Amino acid sequence: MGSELRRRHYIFSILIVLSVSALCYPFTDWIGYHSVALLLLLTVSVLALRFSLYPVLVAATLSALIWDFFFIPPYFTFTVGSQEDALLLIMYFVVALLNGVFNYKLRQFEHITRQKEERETSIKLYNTLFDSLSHELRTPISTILGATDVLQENEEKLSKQDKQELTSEITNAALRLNNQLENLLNTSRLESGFIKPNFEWCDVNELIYNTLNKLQKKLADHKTHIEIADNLPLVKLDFGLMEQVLTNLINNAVNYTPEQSVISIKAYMIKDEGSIDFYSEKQGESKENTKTYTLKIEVSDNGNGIPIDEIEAVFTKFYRLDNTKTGGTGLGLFIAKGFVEAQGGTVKVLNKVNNGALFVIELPTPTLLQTIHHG
Amino acid sequence: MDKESILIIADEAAIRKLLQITLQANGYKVLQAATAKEGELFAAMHQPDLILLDLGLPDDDGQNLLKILRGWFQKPIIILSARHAETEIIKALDSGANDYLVKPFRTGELMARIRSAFRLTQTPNIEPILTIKNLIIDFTARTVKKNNEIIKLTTTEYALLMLLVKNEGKVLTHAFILREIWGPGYIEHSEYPRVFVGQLRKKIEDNSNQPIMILTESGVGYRFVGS
Repeated sequence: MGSELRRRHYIFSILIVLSVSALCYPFTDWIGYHSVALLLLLTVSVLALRFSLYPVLVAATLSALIWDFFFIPPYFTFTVGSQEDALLLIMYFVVALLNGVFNYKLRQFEHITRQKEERETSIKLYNTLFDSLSHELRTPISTILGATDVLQENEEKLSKQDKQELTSEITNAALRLNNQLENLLNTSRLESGFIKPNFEWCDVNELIYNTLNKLQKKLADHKTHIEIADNLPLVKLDFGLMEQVLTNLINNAVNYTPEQSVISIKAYMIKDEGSIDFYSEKQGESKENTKTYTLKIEVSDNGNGIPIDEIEAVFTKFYRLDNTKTGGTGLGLFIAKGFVEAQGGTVKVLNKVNNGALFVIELPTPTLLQTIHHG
Repeated sequence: MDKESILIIADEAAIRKLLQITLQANGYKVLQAATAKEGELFAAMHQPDLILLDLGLPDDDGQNLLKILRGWFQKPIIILSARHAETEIIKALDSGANDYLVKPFRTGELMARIRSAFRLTQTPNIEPILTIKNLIIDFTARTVKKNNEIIKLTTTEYALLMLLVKNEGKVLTHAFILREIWGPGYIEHSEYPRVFVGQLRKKIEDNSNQPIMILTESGVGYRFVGS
């Protein structure tokens, strides 16, 4: 708790006690000072429900003193007239203090129980996650071990084609392991805040096509549709990080759509007001644009889209859509989001009107016109 | 012809074994060192034709060993590095490494790097007319033909193409390209290589979006592939 908040609690306790006392004061003759004690006790109890120990103790003490000073005859002295009143005052003081202490203890206990429950749920979450993760890692390991065993033990019996198939299984398994490791490393880089983008001038065309060319094999059974605005200026971003972002988004699209689905990639720039007028800017000297534009890259597919109730959760670490058949650790989109945010941008996901998921990256960036060099 | 000898300096026995088998299968003589100290010693004793240096060594920083070796060792050094180590790679290339491979790498990639490193050291003089894919470069006439038609290149574009061609197969960092073409005063202009590579690709590549000659090495630089 901040000291500011604690101070506010003290002030609030004192003010409440003072105002309740002030409210009771004109009616003392009417309701009797014993009822005032009960009202003050109620006030302290209510305070004890919300505030921590010390403000409540202050309120209890203050209310006892006020009751003694203003309400118990003789008035305006701390002297107590009768034996009965003295006993009542002591009782009041003790009950008010105990009230504060017990309430505080009760809340502390509740807090501990809640923490325990939270820990249990997070342990449960981690267990399911380790289950899926170890499955993700163990499958390729089993493949490698199995394939090498077969290759070593059945040297003569295997046909050449069998051998080739087995070795290519080993290759695929190793690549898969490498991918998972990459994902885990990237996740821990993100979580430790280790990512410092290395901003460089980049060509958006180069970024997108370089990524796609690397993914050719993965995209073999899918169609791609690319739409990049003409004459895009150079933008300042971290090429490596953005490549990973696009790779993850495209991989995700491939994994969650049937074969022959269309994956579309669109890139364009918008000015803050939403107009596209950098083309009209003077094309002369190489001049860095001081105005920041926003680069938008959209990756979409024409698959089934994402169920509405799960759409918020897709960027969550280790989150997997229910009844997913494809393998994966649920880290790809988490990493994509983290990498874009590390560069000062945002990623959104929505379902397209006519089927399919749409991921939109928005990245504010300085720009540099490209059509300028003739040297 | 004598077999070229290659010295592997790497900590991991499994990596050394794999490299040894691969290299021997491709007709190279293989030497192995497990530590920086051993590596330095073997390099001096055996004078290998090429060194494969893993940057992660137990006793000394690989970058350090690279600098020591470059003090006297003239032949190619190819470094092996971990992923996400672009700054390390650039540092090593700047201290004289000829090329790099990111672990895990494929054998085909390794052999291509080694071949191109040998090619660059063995043929310092380029023939006056060079044919690369559908390009014909005439160094004396300073012309470049694509599919037998002369393509117009600006002075800078021509210089950039020459730099890439002369270092065929080798990765060139952005800083190196800037220094060579524009001079040391232009190191900050990281946009120049991007712009000119883009222009050059449009002129020499069949599809500038799927370049097969000037390849992008993410975060590091460019590599010209001729064969």
